[in-house]
Amino acid sequence: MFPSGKTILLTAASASLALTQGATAEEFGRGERRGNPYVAGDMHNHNTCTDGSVAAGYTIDRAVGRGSASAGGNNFDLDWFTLGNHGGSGNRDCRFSDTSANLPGQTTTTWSQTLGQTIDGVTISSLKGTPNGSGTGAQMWRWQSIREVEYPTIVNRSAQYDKVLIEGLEWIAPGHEHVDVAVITGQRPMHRRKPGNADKMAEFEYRFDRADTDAIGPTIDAGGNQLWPGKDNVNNTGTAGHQKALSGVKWLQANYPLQSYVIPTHTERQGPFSATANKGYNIEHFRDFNNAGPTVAFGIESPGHFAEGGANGGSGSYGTGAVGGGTYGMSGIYTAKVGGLWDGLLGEGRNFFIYVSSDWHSRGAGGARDSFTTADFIPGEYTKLYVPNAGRFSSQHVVDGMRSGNSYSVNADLIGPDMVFRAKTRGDDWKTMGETLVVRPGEKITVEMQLTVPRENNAPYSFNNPLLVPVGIKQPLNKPSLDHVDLITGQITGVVAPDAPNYAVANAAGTAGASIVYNPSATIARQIPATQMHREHRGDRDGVRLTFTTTFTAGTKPFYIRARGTNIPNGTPNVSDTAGNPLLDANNAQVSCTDPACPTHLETVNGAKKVTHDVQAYSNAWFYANPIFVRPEGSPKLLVETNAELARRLGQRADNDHDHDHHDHDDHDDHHHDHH
Amino acid sequence: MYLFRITICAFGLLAVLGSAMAAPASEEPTREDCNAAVAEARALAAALPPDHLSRYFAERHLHQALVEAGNGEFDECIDMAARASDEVRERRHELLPGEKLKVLGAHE
Repeated sequence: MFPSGKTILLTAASASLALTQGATAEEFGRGERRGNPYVAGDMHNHNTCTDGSVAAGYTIDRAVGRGSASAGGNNFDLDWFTLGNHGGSGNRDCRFSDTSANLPGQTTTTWSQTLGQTIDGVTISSLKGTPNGSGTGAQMWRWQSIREVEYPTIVNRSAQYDKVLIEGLEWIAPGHEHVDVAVITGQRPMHRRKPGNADKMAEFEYRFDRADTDAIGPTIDAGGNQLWPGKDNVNNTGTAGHQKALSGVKWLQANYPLQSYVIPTHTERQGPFSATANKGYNIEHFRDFNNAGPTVAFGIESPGHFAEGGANGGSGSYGTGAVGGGTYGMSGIYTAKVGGLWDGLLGEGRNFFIYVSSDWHSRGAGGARDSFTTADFIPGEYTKLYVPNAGRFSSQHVVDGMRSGNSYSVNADLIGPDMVFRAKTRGDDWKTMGETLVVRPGEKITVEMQLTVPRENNAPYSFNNPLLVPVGIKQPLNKPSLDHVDLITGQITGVVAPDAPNYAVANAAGTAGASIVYNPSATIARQIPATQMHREHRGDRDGVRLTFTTTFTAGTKPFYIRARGTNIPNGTPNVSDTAGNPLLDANNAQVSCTDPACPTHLETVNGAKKVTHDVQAYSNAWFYANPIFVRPEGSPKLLVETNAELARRLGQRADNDHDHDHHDHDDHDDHHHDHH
Repeated sequence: MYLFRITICAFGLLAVLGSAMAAPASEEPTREDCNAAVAEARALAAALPPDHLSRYFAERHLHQALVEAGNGEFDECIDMAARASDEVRERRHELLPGEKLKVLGAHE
């Protein structure tokens, strides 16, 4: 299936970078994961340390456990998991779930009730830093809960599940909304004797999260001297906030260039950026991030909150004031629009990729064990972010895989963990997502895609997809079905300089934001119906393997090819246009859910249940694959190439440092990996 | 009734949140803004019959609004309160005759 393109030396950071070339599938994985070229994870989710509904450990249990949870509810068996909870502070003890989760024996518990007690092997003796609230409102700063509660939970669960668990953050960025961040340096949760710590992650949160206004942080002596002095606690808003956010990106790039990522999330939700508030992003802010952090700021994330859609929209937690006025095929307009903001960044040749995660908080009207949700899905239930399986998989491989661009994002298990998306000209020198194919003008470029449509997803509904009923298709919601794949191409015209007039582009809230074109050359170059793909049935358990190849002719200009697929045919009323582009998802609620099995929690209009909440999410399913870049021989290297080379050089330097310091590795391995 | 019992203790628990955090910038919502929005939405919800499905949904939104406040995210608090108000005004969720929303209780 995969050509064996390279010999891979698993020695350190640079080795995992090479994995983007693809080794044989047979070399990967262990147990049931053996043979899967990609592994599924989630990097954005919440617990009661901030605004989630369940305990930190409970989220992990449901996300990576197998079978059923002990108190009921399905587990979702993810291969890796990053705990990506807000910055700031929280008053609840996150060793307990909230009462609203309806879990046996669990009631909302605050830090004020548990100080000094040893619970789950962890004793919190005091709330540290600047006093923040009193009584049941007494809050723990997140730098403390990252260090003293969440990371010990990660260590505990790592041993229990033998999976890759990472302590991350949903950074409440100065000047903007939210950003997924992880700093894996120091985290060795699988190491029995020295499991390390999440201090670097906590330090980032303390220094740069605008909701963390603590002015003290951890102290190093009885005199109160600070461990992390010099915090900017002033410039948290608007343009000054953006500059502080950039300082955060630069801090990561300078200190943890291969051990961190910074990925803005639900980027359209709060509308355009404001120079005087904290909201949104325009294209210039993503350009700033990528310029400041070429190996750490390499993409954006889809919205999450996929079951929030109601009769007036709201899917992805996007209201009418979001850029675009809502989601489109469960993605924000920046990524859903052909020629939109993402295509604008790719049109510069930037290493800028997209990712998906759950943004799990709660199930809305349901408790944590209910099969339905009117708000969020549990990690692994609906969304899966796939990164390359590196065999002896580690947290470093998660970061490397994301950075490489060799990843894809799937909703509703539309496709499985073994997608192949690659291109070549001659011989067997395939290039995959995130890589660049160098061609001679006039050459034939062969593009191949292989994907498996699983037999089942996690939907609790077996009635037919109500969005497809009007076009005469009977497709049970719990049986994934692919209608077609789009191959989207766009020209690459070079990096836009910060002083160029088109570096900043005017943005707009609402549906006006959906009309902004950032890359007019982007187009759906090929649409391949699933009915025209080679089809191989893989038995009742594994679904259907689909394969197609198509060709392009190399021109004299660089370009990229990205892919998306969906269960929605072109021109489906209230769902897609005649070219196959997703419409504003609020339109889905124009369709009634008329099957007798349509659940009671759907929104109603004049007594008719509408396609909303989790039924909408399972009805309107998409996947997105990151781009393959193509440039003519002799043309300047693209930014995606030079930034990959930068990462490679940094990895080699880390290797050399590692070799040099090998004698005291255990004490100085902040910049290396989990070896387990 | 069970559907509403599950939110009551959390409301009480979170209502007393104090704050020593730095004052947000002028355009940013404050705790007072959040509390006012929650109070307004709660009054709207209370006008619905106790067994109306939209009242249940609204109270779940209000619970989350207070959770957001507990995290210092007052903009999200106000957003959740607005959802609660919209839920009540538009009666977005209604049970059809003979229907019941089944939510697993903590004791089940």
